[in-house]
Amino acid sequence: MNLFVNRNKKFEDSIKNQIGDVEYKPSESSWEKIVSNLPEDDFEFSIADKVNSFHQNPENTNWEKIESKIPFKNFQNIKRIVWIPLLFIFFGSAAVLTFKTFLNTEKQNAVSIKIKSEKLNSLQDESFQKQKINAEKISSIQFLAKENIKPSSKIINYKNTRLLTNVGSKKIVATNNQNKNTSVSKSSIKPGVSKQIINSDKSIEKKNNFDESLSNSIEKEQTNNIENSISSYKINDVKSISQITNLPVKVSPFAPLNYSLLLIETTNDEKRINKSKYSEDELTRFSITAITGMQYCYNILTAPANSSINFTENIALRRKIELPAVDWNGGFLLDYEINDNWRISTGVSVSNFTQNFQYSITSPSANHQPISEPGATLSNPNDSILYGNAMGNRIKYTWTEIPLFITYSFNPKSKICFEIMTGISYGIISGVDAAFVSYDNVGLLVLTDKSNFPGIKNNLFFHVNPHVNYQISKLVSVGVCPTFKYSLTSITANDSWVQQQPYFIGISATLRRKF
Amino acid sequence: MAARNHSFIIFDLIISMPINVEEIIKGCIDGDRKYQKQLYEHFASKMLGICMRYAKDKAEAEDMMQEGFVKVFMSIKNFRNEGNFEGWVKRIMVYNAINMFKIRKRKFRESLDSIDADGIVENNMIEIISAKEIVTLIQQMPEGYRLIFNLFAVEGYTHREISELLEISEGTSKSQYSRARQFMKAALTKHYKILNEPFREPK
Repeated sequence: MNLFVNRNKKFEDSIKNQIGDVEYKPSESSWEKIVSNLPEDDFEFSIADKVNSFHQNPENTNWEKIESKIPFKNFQNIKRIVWIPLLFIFFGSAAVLTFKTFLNTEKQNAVSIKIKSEKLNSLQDESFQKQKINAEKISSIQFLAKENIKPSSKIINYKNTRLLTNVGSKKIVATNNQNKNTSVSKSSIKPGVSKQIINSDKSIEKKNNFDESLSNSIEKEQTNNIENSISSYKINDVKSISQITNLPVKVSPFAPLNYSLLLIETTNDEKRINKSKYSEDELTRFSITAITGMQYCYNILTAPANSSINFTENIALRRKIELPAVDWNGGFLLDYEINDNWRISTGVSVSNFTQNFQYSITSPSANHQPISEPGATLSNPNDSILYGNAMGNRIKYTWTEIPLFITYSFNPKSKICFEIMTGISYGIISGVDAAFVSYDNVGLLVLTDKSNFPGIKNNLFFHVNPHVNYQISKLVSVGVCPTFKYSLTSITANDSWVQQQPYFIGISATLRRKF
Repeated sequence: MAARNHSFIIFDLIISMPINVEEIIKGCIDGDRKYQKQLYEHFASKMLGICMRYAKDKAEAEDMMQEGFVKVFMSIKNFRNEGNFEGWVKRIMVYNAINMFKIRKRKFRESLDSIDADGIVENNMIEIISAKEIVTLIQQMPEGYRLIFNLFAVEGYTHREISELLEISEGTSKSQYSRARQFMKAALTKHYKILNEPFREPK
């Protein structure tokens, strides 16, 4: 280390020796310029000495006026304290729901089914109410098998058969009593080959006092359910099929009429659950919506309320040359269904604002002087900006938004659902890349940071989105909505400068997934 | 008469600043209202004294000071502890005064011809006249002259620096300062005479 120090020192010394004593002769006018700046006597020194010690106590109201003009930055800390936990809750809830979904597959292990004594002749009883059948509730049902059907030589007719529940390797299905031959052939049961098994063309027999619409819904649901449920099975081997004669538990009213209950036991524990087997009763109230879209970006420019500068011409020029452009937005929402019609949502999204402007320049007149402000970056300081298309520039802002929406569905049970979503979002300005005509239309103020003069601040947006939603399945739906978003507050931080309130008109697509 | 170098005077104040001034600055950077008020209370009287020289009256000086403090709080995070903090605040006040002058687009059209410019300032005159009276006399000057007088005589800017700040020529700065200086001397002489006139009871 010392060697290097010594070597560098020698270099410095040699340079110093070489150039240290070099002299240059100044020009003749240098002294005159120095003298011209020197006072003739002690007058300036005396005045400066006197007035520099002068103090004047301000009025008490001065601090209040200053306080009203500076942002209360502590609120930002409070806001950080609020929305960071909100984000945590949002992602935490999503993670918990996802984990819970997979956890359900683990609950169906080794619960012995005991079915008590009540024989079910008809499930048409109006006193039946919807009940969830899951492994936790079926804990005290005593199973009594009437007959054991060996799987080796018979074929199970899976049409008009509905899977009611899984319990480990056992499955309880309800099948039409008309199907006398209920058996399974080992060779015909293969993973994911449901279509080969369904071979019955018999429909549900309707009873006299059976509601036709209920019948239709049952038939429809059964078909969907069976096909979907079988397609997920990996039934490698069926050990036994038994008929359940006594089942005191009231099953769903959508269970088929005049059906028997079968208990199918396989050699493999069927731990995977096809999510489409969920009935409506098993869905939670939570869902996640992904939303993305395009929007036209507009800006409302207004003169500041209290400023000695006249911005009339400046605003008129900006309105002429700043033109709306298209940009994108997107995000995720966590929804909670209050009831069938109402839903609240929150989440996080990114929104972009873009405008282009084209202009021409000319030399300013003698009276024009560009303003100079601390923190301001002025481009073309000696050019007067005019309406034209000789040059172009861009205004772009990016927000990270935390929305809070409420949605009303007009017909929630329909396949095609009409909704209206409204609410507010808090926009945190996260990107600024803008330029706009400066005061007196001379020069361009360039903003590459939100703190550059005149400053860009966070704001509140108001949203209205009428929405059309198409239910692809019980869990997934897609939608499209025209969007309207309006800034409730100005984004200009400096109260004495032109105020800007952006608004957007666009269209978005949504993808919603229930849990 | 010894010539003095009136290059730009950096306020090299060796005053005993409060021990917690760094804490106040940090608190102001964090936007803590309590520290902002402490900073205001510490510098307000001095900064108002500076603004009084640039304004035509106390009301205008207070407006100037308010805007100056707002700019101080908005840009305090840019203060890099590389110099004296009071000097930094003072520079903001002076630049603010210059900007307010530019906004009003005052030109050097005001005439000082009516003023008797033959004042001779004696050595003890300035000592006798108080700082407040001198500031009041400065306020009587037209704005453009007042600005150049403050920048050259009090702040110590050179004419070249003044010409760049105010976007005028160096020659204009010199000529306007010369007239402002004559005005100030005449005003001081007149005021001194008034102060020293014997009191005469009305008849």
